[in-house]
Amino acid sequence: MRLYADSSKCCGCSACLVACSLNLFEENNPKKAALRVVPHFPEPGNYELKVCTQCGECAQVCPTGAIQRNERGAYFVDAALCDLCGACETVCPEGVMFVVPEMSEHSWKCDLCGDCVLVCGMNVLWIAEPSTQAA
Amino acid sequence: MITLRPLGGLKALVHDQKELHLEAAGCSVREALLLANIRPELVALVLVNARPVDKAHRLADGDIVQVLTVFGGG
Amino acid sequence: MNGYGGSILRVNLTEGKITRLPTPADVIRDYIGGRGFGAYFLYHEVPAHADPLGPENKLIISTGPLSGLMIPGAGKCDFSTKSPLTGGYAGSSLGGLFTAEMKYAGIDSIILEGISPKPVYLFIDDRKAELRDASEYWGKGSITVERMFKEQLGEEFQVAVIGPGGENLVSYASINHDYGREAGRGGVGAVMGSKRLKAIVLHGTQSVQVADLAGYRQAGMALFKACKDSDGLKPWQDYGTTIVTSWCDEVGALPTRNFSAGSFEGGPTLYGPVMREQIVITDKGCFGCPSPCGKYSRMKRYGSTVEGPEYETIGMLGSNLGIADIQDVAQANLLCDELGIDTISAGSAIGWAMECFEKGILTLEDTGGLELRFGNVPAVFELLQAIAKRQGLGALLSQGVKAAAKQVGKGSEKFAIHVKGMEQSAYATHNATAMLLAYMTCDVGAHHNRSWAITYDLQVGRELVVPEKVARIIWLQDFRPMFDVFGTCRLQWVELGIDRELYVPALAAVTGVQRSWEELEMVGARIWNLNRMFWIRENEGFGREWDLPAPRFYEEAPKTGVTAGQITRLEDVHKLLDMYYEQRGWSSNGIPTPATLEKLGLAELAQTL
Ligand code: SF4
Repeated sequence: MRLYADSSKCCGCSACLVACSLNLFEENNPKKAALRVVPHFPEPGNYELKVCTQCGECAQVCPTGAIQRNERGAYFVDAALCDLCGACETVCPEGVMFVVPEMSEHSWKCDLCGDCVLVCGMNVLWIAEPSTQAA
Repeated sequence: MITLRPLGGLKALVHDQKELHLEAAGCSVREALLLANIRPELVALVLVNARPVDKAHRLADGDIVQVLTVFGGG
Repeated sequence: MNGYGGSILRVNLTEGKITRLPTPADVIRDYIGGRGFGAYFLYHEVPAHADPLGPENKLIISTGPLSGLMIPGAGKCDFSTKSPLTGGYAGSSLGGLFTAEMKYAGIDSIILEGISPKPVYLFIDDRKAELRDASEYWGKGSITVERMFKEQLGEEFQVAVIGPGGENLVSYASINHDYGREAGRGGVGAVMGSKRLKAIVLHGTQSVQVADLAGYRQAGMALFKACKDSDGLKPWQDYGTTIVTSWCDEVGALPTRNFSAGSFEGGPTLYGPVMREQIVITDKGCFGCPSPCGKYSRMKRYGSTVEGPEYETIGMLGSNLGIADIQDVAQANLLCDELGIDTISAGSAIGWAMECFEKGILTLEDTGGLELRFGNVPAVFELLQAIAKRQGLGALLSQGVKAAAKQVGKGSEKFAIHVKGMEQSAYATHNATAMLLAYMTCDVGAHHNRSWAITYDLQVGRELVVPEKVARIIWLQDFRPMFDVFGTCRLQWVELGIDRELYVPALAAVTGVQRSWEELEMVGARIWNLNRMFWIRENEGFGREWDLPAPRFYEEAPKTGVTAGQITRLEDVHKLLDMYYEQRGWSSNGIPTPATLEKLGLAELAQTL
């Protein structure tokens, strides 16, 4: 399973970000979310939503084995094992692996909780098996 | 037969029914609303088969008509 | 402080001094946040009879306890000040992402006071706050400057900025944000300009605490679910506020040629579906909004983009000026945004000037050679520039229609469409008595956001003058502005029709204080009366006369359209006020009685009467 996003429908409201931080950290803080809303204004005038594809590149380079898979098939960060080396962040092709020592003692990423999907009014986000989504 | 679906607050005017079936093929939207006891001027938007139309639009058999109002205001 | 940023940031521009103090607990208890904070600080901190554009006036910018949280539409920010347009209370709401960023920088209110010796901007990054030189930005348009800041500081910074209109102290200058969101009404931008503050740029990364995390997450999710389950969601997402354009035209509420009528023969080319098809490219929402009313548009003919136009702008810069092309209206909207002026007041001022011109009250000499007839698009574009720069006829119009009509005279006061000096927003009220009363008694002047009742008028009987209508208006005035106290949008209730009871557990879980709607409406009434007292304190002889609508609505029935020949009689206008004052517990001159003030916890104000 992975998260999908249709950026063309995104209205930039960022509800997904706060829902995400509530799941990952039990905190209200859009800056601690594992998705990214990238606005392009005033031109061309649209939003780009970056989400984790669960490609697993981060897990492959993690020297401490901190990035593991959960029961939903998502890679997640085992906080106790992460030493903030930052290797994962550099290889993430979508820019949604976060290592910010001032904000968290461990790196963070999407663990496929699905709360972003629940708060998105525009149906931008959904979770599916990659096989069913092959173009 | 057409299907009339009052959205949001308009349901209150038709005893909270989600859907009404009316013999209104060939009628205008305005006439269909009157058949349902909804005063046409209270309706702000009409969608027929999900496309916006005005109240003079003639309905065809099988049309699905959604109507919406603004109660709470601008 | 659960649900709050926790501090008030006070910025003295004269001295260049910035302090941060904890948000007072008693103000939280009595006024909750947002618009409540604005009204409280304005009344208690600005000395009586302060010059709106002088150092003593303050601009108070406030978030609410729900701002920035996982609550639908939690993106509303309140801007309160003494209005340079009306001389009374101004409270203007700004959408977008600004209020959330403020909250995450730990701030509940920013209080701007004094006047800077030179142009500056306020830079806030979490605990850090400083005034910086703005000479690089001064003189530039608001969209241009927002882009500059984002390029210099990054997209994570949020920007509120004034354009040339605010710098030049246009009485209805706006404060702009997120490429098309404005605190538009009452001239809040002129107050910011008078302080020589070009912009506020901010960035916040601090988490916001809530009292009951699990309860809040549950209540927040329930609100989102109600929005997403609403059967009206899709149409509101598709068309936003422009859903009402065609309907207003149909029922005679669409302002046409300076409100001389309520339906426009060119209306159909301005309707929502036409706009969606022709120019809308992206839906754009405020923080946490599941039903984004922002429509981002591309005008091919002009090679430009703009957020909007939304309904008010279509009414005021479209039909009200006799303009029937959506791209022209959108381009006028863009000009207003870049120049930093309110589309509603600007549309009204130009509509008034066009009527003056067509009646020979203003001549080619006055207009600098402009053929100022209804429908003249290039003349509108030129005049918007002149207003922002306060040049030629623009200088006259930049003061708003009340002042302009007073200066020009010759009967033009009769068709200056305002209440208390604020230009009426885009609902024509020749024959809609509840809506007329809403405009007459609104606490900022003729604006629709506190209460709105056109559908109610149609349901009950539009010309009827009955106590139920008055009660409905009062209920809406006490209840609807509470969304601006929470720091959220009212449109999820207004449009999607979600149950307002869903907000009660959310607010309780966030703040730890349980308040029913009955108690919340009491807070609403407290704010309403406090603002009334502000008008009374600031304006010698304030009373019933100030609540009268534009004479057009009781003297001059429309000649065309569905409301042709229909009018509200002056005696009914007074009857509405009689009933309103009585139900509000005010004197027959519209002054709150000591007993009313006491009941609302405003006993100390009774002594000032
Ligand atoms: S409905 Fe409009 S104003 Fe309200 S939160 Fe959504 S986008 Fe903002």
